[in-house]
Amino acid sequence: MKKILILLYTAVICLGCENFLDKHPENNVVAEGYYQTEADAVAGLIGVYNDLQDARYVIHNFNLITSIASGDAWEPNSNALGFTEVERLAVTPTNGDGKTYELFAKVFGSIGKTVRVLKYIPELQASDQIKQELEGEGRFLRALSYYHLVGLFGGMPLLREAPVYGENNVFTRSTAEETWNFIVEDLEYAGKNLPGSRAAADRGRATRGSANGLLARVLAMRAGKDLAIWQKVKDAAQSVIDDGYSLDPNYANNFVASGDYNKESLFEIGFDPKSTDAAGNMISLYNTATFAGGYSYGEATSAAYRNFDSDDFIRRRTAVYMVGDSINFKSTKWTGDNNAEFLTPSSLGFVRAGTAKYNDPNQSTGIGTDANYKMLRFAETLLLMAEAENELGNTASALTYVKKVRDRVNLQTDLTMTSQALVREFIFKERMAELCMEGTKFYDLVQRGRGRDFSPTSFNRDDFVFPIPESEIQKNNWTQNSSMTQQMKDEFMGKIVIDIR
Amino acid sequence: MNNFTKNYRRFVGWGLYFMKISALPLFLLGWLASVSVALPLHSQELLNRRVSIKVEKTSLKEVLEQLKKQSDVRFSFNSKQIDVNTPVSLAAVNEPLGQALDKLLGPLAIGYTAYSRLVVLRPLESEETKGKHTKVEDPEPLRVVTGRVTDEKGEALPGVNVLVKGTQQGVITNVDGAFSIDTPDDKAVLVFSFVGYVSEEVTVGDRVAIDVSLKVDEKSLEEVVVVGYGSKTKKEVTGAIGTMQGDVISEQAVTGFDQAMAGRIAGVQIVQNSASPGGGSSIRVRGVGTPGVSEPLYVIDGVPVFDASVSNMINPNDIQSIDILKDAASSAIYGARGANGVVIITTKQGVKGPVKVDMNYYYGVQSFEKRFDMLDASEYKDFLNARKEPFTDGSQNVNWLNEITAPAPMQNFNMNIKGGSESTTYFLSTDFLDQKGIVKGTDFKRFTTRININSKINRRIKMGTNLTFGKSWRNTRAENSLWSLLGAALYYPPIVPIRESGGQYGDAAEYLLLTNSNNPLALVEVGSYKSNLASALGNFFTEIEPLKGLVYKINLGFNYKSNVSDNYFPGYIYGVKNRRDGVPSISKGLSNETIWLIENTLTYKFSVRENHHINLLVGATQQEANNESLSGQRLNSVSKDPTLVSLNSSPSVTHRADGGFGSWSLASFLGRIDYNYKGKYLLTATVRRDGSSKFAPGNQWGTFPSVSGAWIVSDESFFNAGWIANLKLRASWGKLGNQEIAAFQYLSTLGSVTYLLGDNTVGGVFPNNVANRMITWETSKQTNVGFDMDFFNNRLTLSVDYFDKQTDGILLSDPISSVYGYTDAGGNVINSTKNAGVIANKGLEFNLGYRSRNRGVKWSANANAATLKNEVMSLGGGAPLLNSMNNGQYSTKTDVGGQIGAFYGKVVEGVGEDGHFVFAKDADGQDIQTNIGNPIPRLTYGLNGRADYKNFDCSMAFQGVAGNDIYAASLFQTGNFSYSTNNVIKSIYDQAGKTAPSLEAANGADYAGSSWFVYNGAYLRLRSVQLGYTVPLAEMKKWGVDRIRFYITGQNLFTIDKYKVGLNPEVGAFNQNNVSAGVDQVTYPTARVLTAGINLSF
Repeated sequence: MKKILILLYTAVICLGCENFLDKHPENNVVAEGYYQTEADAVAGLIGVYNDLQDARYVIHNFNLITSIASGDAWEPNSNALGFTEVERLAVTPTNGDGKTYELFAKVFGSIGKTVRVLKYIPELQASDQIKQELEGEGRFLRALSYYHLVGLFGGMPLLREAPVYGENNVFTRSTAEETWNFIVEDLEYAGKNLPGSRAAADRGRATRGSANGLLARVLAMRAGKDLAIWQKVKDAAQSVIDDGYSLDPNYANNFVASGDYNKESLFEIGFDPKSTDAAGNMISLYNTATFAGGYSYGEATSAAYRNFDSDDFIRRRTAVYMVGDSINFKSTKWTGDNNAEFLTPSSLGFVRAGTAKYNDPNQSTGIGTDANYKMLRFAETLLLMAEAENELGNTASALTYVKKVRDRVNLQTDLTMTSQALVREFIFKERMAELCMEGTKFYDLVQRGRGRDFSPTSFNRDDFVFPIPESEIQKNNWTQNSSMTQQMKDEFMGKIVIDIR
Repeated sequence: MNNFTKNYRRFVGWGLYFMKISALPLFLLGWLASVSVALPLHSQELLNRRVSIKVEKTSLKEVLEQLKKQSDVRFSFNSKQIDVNTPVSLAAVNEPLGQALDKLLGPLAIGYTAYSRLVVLRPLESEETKGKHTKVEDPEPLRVVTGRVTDEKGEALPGVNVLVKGTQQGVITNVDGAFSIDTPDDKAVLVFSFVGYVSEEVTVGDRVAIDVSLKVDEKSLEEVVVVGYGSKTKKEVTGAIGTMQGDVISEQAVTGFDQAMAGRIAGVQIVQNSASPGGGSSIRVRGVGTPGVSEPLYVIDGVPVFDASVSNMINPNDIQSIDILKDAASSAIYGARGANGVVIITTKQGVKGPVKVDMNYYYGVQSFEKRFDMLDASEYKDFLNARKEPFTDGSQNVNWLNEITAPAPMQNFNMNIKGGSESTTYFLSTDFLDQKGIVKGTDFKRFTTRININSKINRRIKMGTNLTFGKSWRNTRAENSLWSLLGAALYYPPIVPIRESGGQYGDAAEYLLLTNSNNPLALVEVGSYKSNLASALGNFFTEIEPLKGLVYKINLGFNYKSNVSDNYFPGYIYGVKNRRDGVPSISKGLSNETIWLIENTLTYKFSVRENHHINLLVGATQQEANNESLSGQRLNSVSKDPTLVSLNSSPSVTHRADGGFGSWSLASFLGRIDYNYKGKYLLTATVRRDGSSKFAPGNQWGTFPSVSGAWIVSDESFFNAGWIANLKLRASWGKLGNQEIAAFQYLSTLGSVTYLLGDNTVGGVFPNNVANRMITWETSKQTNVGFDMDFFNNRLTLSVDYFDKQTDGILLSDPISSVYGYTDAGGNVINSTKNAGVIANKGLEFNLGYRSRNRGVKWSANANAATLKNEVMSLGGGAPLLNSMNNGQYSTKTDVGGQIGAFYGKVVEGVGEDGHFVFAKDADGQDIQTNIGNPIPRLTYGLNGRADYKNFDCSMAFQGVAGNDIYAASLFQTGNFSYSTNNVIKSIYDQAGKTAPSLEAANGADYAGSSWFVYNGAYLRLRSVQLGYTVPLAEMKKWGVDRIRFYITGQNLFTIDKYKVGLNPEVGAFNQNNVSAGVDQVTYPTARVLTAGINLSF
């Protein structure tokens, strides 16, 4: 019997039992062993860039949430409850149809993709310089992701390494300060290691200018009265200036396809619905009223007009238009299609308006425009430089940078101003006008301690964050943000309360 | 045009082919007739032989001896009838033998019949028979022995095998128990054998009439039950195994064996997923243990195949028996694949003896069973008026369901040839099925052939093969969607013309406001959706017996499947305005799968002393599967010629291609010991160790043990209840796995994405799964206790089983924190899966059988029933599984304490004065959302009977379920007035304002998923009834065949149920999805079938 058993086992082992169960998926590559060359790592980072392209990450959720929270836009589509709650800053942990959760999960998905590429970069068959460039690119993308979270939700768990499922990970939240510092740390590395420019085939990938542009923005938001930080803002902005960026002579050109990868662009998201990639820039669909062919998720409000001086015609018309305006300076006038609701102001003097930035002339196709979405523009760098110079006491120098920005849109600049405080206000107002409807306003207000009407606020900016989505609180056993009190909300909203319902 | 001709030829070719096989029986009849005429020619020559003899007063015996010497003939006679000592005189000089015999025997009134070298003498009894003896062309047999076979009570036994021992010569008794057989000589021995009776051997001697009474075999329990890797007698079985014999399949005229199993085996539920031709069934053995895959493992002649499509690959007429291993102890020999039960299919084998041919042909007509009325045109117009819906009257009264359905023919031809010598037996068969569907545009054709050969090479070596090849062709139309064909045929307005005068399909949008407007006739007539499946399945084996009782077997098995689908859709054109709808497309898909198996087993059967009987099995097996697929599609522009189905026929530039490859392997060791003490105490233990490539190295192997025992109480000396012939108590326990989960979940795989850099689209990757190295099979543990009893001489049998099955570690999605950072290319969170959660199934099974042998009517009946309690015990702390369907209009919720896939929604308390539903509310005034129905039946049962009377036979099969609910999702279109212009079910319309919302008020608030859509799902269905007539023996001889039987069969003749708003109360688990079972999204109706057929045996 024993002999027979041995025989039997031998028979099977001869058939190769050891390797017999060794199967690999053939429809997917496996991460382990995939990352060998520079191109492999780039392919991994393309996965991250692709996330930015996803409408419900940057342009739909982040941009709309911040535009609405800042009072520049509102949500007339009562079906999309999530945004309605944002209008009154009444976001709950189980927020309506989950807009904040959607954003939270998408951003962490993007961070996950990034760190799962960063993990393999040290082992690539590539020169140290290439590895550093790739690491810089990954860290820029990670910083960008955390930037999208920290101002809305406060301190986050910082993923320096890729978490592995089943290894009993405990994700501990860092403070807001630590999170901002983490962003700065990544951006500083990226600013030192990324290349200054990209070849035509790689346009769209992060550059040194992207990192320094974002670094200058982030540092300026956090600097307060810290001159050392303002010096860093200046250094970062100077680096961008040194890299040879310049303003597009035509302001509106930044928001149409002809402005793709122009000299003003520090970082943009590629879109072209007719390409094989088949992704269109849908922001104006979301921002436009349903009766005008859009989805009415974040229409510009009359409050958005406050960003502009009356003579700031070019920028106002590009960012926000109302009945009687022509869109993008085309001959056709915006009539609102005779829609009564459009014309009727509410008791708060509210009117519906549209956004011309990235306006899609073929709105009805519903596929979006082929204009790339600019996340960082050189005009902002100039304003950040002006801000830094002003804070560092170089007010005259500051005004020269502002002048560059204003000259483009045919606005005069009074270079004789000497009051640091007045210039600060002047630069801030300029920033609001220049970047209107570009998704920066909420952070600009909160981080600089201002309300929707620009007046100073008294609360701690790091407490002025939305609740973390409830499911994340439960899964991670975190303490909820409890800080945005009604008093803080009232102070922030000032007189700009959006409610015509 | 060329292509059209080609297809036309193909079509005609099939027609001719079919005519050919219809003509085959006639051809065979002719062949047999010519053989029987040719035989007696030699006897004339015999009687012409010249003889010379002169004797006086010599004994007849002496004279015959002399004639024998001269002419080299032998004489045969019965010495009781003919006195050979009679003195005779005869003188003949060079006379023909015949003439001499006439002279000799004539005066003695003895007749004779000559055969090639034999002359049979017999006394002449009447004038009538005189002189006939010289009719040499009379094809009477050598020596005809006739007789009758009865049972102990003197009742005729038809179908008994009567064989001349040592030859291949045999006949079967007719319905009167009568037989007639040729025997060579006095020494011949006849063997009478019949299943369930003790075989009897009778020496013919000089008799020409032999009556035999067969005794019931008290060991008829020796019915063989196929268990994994071997077989046992029924008495030896210690687990819970349900068996169905092949004749049960053939007496139902079904197209797949799965349908024949409905209601036959307690605890085995067959749910038809689609009643469309070629549509499959889900088989649920003892409930549902996982939200994932719960189909059983099929083992066909020893080849394990995990594939529910086997029912389309196997000719049901080839099946000898189906054995279903229900409890864990029985299935544990199949380890990681046994958790959902094992269905063992054994095909027919050849038998030693002369060639036997069985043929069966039936033709049937399927018709649509009308179950409810929709509004006719005038009622419908009233309805529109009440809803204040404007419309233009098309002045029609169309019943759309009638338009898309039609009585449909089906036919099946089946033939098998079997026989064999001492060393080799064979079974060959071929079968062709041609079935049209009752919904236009659907049909199914299948051709299968089989070769089963068994050979004894020598005393120690046996070899054999079982092979089947099949090809099937299927045309389908959309089903199981509220908007599909059948749904549309219900709700489409009766006032819209079928076609406009220009020939375009009528367009409801031109008559009224209708959101979902697809002319149902267009849906069955435009485009084509074809698929065909080619398959080969089989094994080769060798058995070597080096020592007595020790058998080594190597089994090589394979299964090859190739599937081709061709879809052609030119787009619809509707109405006088020629509205176009749908994206024209043409697509083709190819996929194939190859599975191979190597299996080495060793069995050793021995006894220690007298009372200890041991049977050992050890084995090692390996199985591997590879599958690949390729598909292509062109969009927007297709050819106008519907016979063009190649991708190249489309001038479109928009196209896509997809392809995939998959592979898995399973290595296993198995062992079993059967121990039997004195035939009374039985103990079986098995263990299987499986290694599966689906899991992470280091986590691939699992061990699945089982143990079972039985005690045959009735064999104890103290047991003296004579009326109980057999009493056996059984108990078993075992552990099983379910490995049917997606492979490679332990690996971090990368999916692909694209992004725009510069002006170019570039490709990239991203992690597309949450790797879980710990992932492993779902494990189920099952305990079974039961008993078998036979009463009154085995006439009444009863089996009862109780089982308790618990599945642990069911695969559930684990809602991990999104901080882990897993989202797909669209930024949606990727769920991770983990083994968590527990599901329990418990139930009682009964099987009661009765066999009568009284009087002229022989009958048997069987009743079986099973209860089932399905309960989710744990979800591993995770959230309930909510399956939201149809944009969340209705859903199922799998939660702790309830069934898998329980219906979930609001509770309707009635209709309020405002005409709206009143929903039950909680303390906060919110509508309660809760469990509102259960899809899994608490009771399944079947009733089957068979009776024989003289030449008639009759069988019947009922099947039913109770204690389950149906969620009538179809009512969203046809019942709740939600789509204002949809036609509605008349009974609901009549109840508007009473049990349904009022016509005027019905709105969105009434459409929410609620208990209003839940119906009692109980039904009792007469699945089949068959009446047969076997032509009496003498008539059969005239036809030159052994057996001719005519029969008619009716299927689904009636159904008793309370679900009068759906097309079919048998609502399946679509796409094998256990969390959408019992939700009626407009199922394909079950056809009523009437068939007439003929069986012929040669």
